[in-house]
Amino acid sequence: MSERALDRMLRATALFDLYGGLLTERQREFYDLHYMRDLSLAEISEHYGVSRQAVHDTLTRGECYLERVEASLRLLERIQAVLEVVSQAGDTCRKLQDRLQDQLGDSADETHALIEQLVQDLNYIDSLLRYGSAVSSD
Amino acid sequence: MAVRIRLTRTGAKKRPFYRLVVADSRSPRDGRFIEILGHYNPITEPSVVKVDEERAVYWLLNGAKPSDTARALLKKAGVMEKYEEARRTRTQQAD
Repeated sequence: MSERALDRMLRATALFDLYGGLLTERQREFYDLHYMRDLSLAEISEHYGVSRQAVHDTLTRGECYLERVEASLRLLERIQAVLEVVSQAGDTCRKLQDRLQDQLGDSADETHALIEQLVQDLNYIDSLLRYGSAVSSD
Repeated sequence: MAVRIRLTRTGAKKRPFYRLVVADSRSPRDGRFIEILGHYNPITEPSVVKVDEERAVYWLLNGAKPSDTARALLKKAGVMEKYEEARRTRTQQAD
């Protein structure tokens, strides 16, 4: 059960990162407290003076909505698929560089530079997908 | 006063990174915590869980309640086992 709690939280927050702006203010607030700060439903209900059931309903409604949005847009699915391919391509580049080094030694400099360029492009795509910009820390 | 063990999310949008913290249940909003026990990075493959076992067991023995997700993480890191063991030896000593 508890391993599922982790998976559920990761999925909920991944969807929230993409589509959170579509939720109501209240849903966003509860989402933040429950999934980002890890407060229990009971703790949230105490803070807001509403019933635990009300918190649960608000969160479930928000989650259902985000899942519906994902079912139509499939942004999360696509991003994850592309990230997977990008990471594989990066591995291929590294193998290629190792092989070049073994076979040609230092005379492979120019080819190395080309592959290096490719690796940088892949990193750029990766950060675009992950963070929505090329800046990796914000 | 209830003390809880929670996961709090730090890190940027679309790049989750979690801290495992001990916090007073009365100060949940401002993110204040008593102690950092470890961290969890779900992005790397495989995901990385790091926990200060000794301190985690110490807090559990002192009645800190982990949230569902924190409990899952502690289990993953093998801390819950150590806690059960420590609790057993403690009750035996008390007898």
